[in-house]
Amino acid sequence: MQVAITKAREGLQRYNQLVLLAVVLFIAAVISRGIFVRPGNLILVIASASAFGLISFGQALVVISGGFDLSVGSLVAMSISAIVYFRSDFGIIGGTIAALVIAVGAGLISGFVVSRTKIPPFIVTLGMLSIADSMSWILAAGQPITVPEFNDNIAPLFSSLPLGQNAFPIIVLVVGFVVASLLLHRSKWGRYIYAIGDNEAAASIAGVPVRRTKLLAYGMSGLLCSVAAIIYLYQNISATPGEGADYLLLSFAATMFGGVYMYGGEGTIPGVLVGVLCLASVTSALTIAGIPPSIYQGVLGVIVLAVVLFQARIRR
Amino acid sequence: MNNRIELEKVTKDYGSTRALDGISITIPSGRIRGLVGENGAGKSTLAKIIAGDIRPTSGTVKLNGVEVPYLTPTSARRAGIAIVHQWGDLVPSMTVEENIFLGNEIHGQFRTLNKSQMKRKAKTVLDDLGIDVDTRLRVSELSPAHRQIVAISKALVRQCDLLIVDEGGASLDKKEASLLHSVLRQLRDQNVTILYISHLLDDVVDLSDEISVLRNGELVATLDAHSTTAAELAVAVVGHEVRRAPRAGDVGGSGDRRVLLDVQGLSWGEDASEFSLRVREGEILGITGPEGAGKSEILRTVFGLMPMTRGTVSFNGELIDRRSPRRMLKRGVAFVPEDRFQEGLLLKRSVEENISLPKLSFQKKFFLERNRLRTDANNKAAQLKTKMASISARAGDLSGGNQQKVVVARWLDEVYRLLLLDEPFKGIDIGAKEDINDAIRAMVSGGRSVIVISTEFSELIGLVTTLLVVVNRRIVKTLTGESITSHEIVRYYQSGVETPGQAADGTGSSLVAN
Amino acid sequence: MTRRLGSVFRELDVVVILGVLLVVAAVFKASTFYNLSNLFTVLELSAVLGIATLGEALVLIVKGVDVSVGAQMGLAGTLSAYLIPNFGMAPAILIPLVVCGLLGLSNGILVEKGRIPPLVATIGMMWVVGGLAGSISNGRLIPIENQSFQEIALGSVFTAVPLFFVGLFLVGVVAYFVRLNFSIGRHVYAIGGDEEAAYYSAIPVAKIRIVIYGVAGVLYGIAGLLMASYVRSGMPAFGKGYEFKAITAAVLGGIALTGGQGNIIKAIVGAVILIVLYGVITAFAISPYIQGIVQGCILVGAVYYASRNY
Repeated sequence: MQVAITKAREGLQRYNQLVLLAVVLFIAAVISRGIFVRPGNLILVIASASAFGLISFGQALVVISGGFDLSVGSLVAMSISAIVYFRSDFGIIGGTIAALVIAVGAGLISGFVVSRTKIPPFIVTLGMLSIADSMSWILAAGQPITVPEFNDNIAPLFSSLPLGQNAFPIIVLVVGFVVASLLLHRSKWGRYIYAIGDNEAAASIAGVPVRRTKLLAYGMSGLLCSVAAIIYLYQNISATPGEGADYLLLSFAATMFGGVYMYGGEGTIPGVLVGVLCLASVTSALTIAGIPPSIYQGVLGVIVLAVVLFQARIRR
Repeated sequence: MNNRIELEKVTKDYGSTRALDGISITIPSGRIRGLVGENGAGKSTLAKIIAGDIRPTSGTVKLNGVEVPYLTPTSARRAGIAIVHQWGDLVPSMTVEENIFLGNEIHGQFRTLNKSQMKRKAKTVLDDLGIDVDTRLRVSELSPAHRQIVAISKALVRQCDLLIVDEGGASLDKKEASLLHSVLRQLRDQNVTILYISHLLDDVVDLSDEISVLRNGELVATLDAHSTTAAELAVAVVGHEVRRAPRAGDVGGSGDRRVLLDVQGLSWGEDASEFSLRVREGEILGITGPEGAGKSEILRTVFGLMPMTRGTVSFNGELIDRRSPRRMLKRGVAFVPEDRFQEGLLLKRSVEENISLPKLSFQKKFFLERNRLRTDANNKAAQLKTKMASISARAGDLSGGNQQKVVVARWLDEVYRLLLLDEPFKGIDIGAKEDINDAIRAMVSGGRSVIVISTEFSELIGLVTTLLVVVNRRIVKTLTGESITSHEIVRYYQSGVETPGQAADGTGSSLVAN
Repeated sequence: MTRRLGSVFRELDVVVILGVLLVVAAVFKASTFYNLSNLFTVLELSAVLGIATLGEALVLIVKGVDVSVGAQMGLAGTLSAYLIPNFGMAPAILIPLVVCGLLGLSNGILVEKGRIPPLVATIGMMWVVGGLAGSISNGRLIPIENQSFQEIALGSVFTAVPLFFVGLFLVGVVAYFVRLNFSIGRHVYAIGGDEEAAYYSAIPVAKIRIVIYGVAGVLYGIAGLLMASYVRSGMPAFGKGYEFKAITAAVLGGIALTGGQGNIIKAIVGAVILIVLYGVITAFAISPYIQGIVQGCILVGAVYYASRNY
């Protein structure tokens, strides 16, 4: 009997993501009275998941290594404003490169401070959140943010494909997924990230380059945030400065759904992808069902707490 | 005379392990009873039963002649029993007065705190013990001896008259220890019964009225302290001498092998003396001593986990001026920490990931050569006869002994010439101990060297070529070859020893033979 | 002697910082800063942040953290604005406080019984509360027409000192009095200082922690009501960023993130410092967007400075 229970627990733990996804899809279908599962809608859902999916991959890297990145939302906002700011002097390409550099730089700064001081990551990234948020307003310089260039130039490339406009975000999401997976699951840096998240002291004694690994994790998070900014602009064209706060909560929720344990050392990129898709589905279903956006937060909060409680109990 | 507490045939089982076997102890009131025994002999278990923290599997406990069905922490406290631990009884950031009355505050009108009375009583208690401490000081600012005394005062104001002192003298120097002793004697004269648990045999003989000796969960003797010497006590603690034949080639003849590690005058702080030691190729150096003596700190400082305030470290003839784990590993020095849970294992990761962790720094390509790593990890695990479901099993699921093997397995490669092992045998079964022992001997026969720390010196006898006895952050004795026996070792377990012929840096003249 | 002086300075460092700021303002921007209306505003906002900071400080002292501050403030304001037209002042004040208290208790239960790290638990609660507030207000701002409610913000003592600030003063005094004269004051610090020692001293650690989160919730609620009175409306987003400000203020005021240390009055002074700082920045006509950067640097800097000392 004991053996059976243990096996069941293990099975649940291994497959809980897929179970979760199935449950969520089912609920979404029900809430939306079937509209959700139409192929056209499903594609939209995946495309909508692109931006915050990338952010979630970055967040996962950081959380698995034992940290937190509370600044992700503001990094996206800052990247958006940076694109606009540098576009006037360097064109859209220059603006984009500048945004990438700045976002990576911000991530590296966070990583640097986390790895070299005893300041807890949540404080460091909380500070970065504030700074990046300010920067996003300053760089926007009071101008309305309208960046049609991404959509104008890239969308036509895919017009012949069945996915149409949605091809670009989905492709980028897939690329991001592949890169993050390879990094985390097939390279030594991935092993280092897991090691540090599991037991930083042990990792250090065993020769893991702790500082460098943390820099990598936070830097990647910054990079993925800026790429997410590009996707956002591709899909929405215009934005208000400081927009992107929601991404923080979404990225956390997605990583937790994905089995990334808050204390680090556990979780997988495919798991996070499942979490991302779950959340995108829930959002889509709620929109279709006509539930006001202000409720999203509440629902998400409850879901997140439930998932974390569930995780905590499984671990006992 | 009243018998303050009596235990009759008390047994405690943890699953299939028997921690205490039919212990019958009688402690009269107003006496100091010493309690000695090696690690794992059952001292803490016994203390916890008396304090009500755990319940015996069988047997009876009588307080003041009255049988008690069982004790809980609360009922024990009410019965006047208190236990003072080595650490953790006090809140360091709060003052002496606040700590003494923590959870037991004196109230005045409307349940507000009656601070003047608490201040007065705190001062009175401390004065009665002959101690002059400003009750406004934070506990973190006190010396270890005063901290112990404050913890004792805390127990006293709860009307305790049976005090269990757990490893009281461990980190105290001679002056502080005698201060603690005089306080305890005074309490005894005020009819407080004291159970004094300690490794430091000299202290116990000096302080106690009677001494109970535990070995392997059994009470083997109760001696009258006034007619016993520390040496005789040592015999009782250890039992018959376990003497193994010295290893061939380890007595003498080691003088012609190259010195691998040379440590001179190493210190990590003001309260530590300076340590010097040398390890040659193919040598196994042992370090033993009571808990808290500073053994781990030596290795941790060498490995770069703690800052070195004085001294030099040379490896392979080269002076190393900055030490850090990564730097030491590059030179071929590896460290296995004492606590495999806090600093050794990645509990959630697989055995393979754990073992292959150091190998990753030698990987040049981006993608891991997973098959090669897997095979290599399997080999290493097999060398240590590690029992596991598979190489992919979670490290946290293995038994203690196998977990320890995993940590040691990391360093089996030839590239690591010197292995620093901190308590590698702690909390693991005999079979695992043997396997690790074999691995150590195999390593050394290939010309590599090992430093092993163990509080359990019996584990080191027959394994090491040289043994350093460290007490209170100084090397009190160096033993080599045939003189490495339990009786010899235990003789040197004393607090704050200062014997003639001992240089300020703690090295004895016998190191010359090295 | 020097040790005494040194510790005295360390105790009063916040006052010194505040003094410096005020002097700088006096020297350079006397007219802009030191006029009745500006000072009134500064004191009002100090009260709002100060009370919120007190709640956060209590949580930090028991080794926790609470990022649901802003959300609870927004909920309190929204709820109050919603209730006033139909139910009058008393319920509009009491109900939000009770609700916030219960939410705070929930935070405590999640942390203690659910074994969830405080950061995660309060982030989750932050979203739940935001959702609650959002559903009450339907995303819109609810204006408050009630005269007496508005008057709380406008009211003052001796003309210059707002009622808000008097309220802050009273809350601070009561809190500090309890801290010094009741067992609970010591027990709270013991839990943060060494939980094991507290446990072995028969202190009900779990119960106290849960209650502290609850008390903090009530304090956030009060802050939220004050804010609603000030802006004469209720909207969920009005509390946005307050958790950040509260944590910064608490750390600035010497509350240790590791728990068990720090003077709660100094934490309140930390809040005053932040508000005065923002006022000075505005007086110097520096872009308000800089505020965020300044805040971020202060937070990281204050924590760094504190971590060096412990």
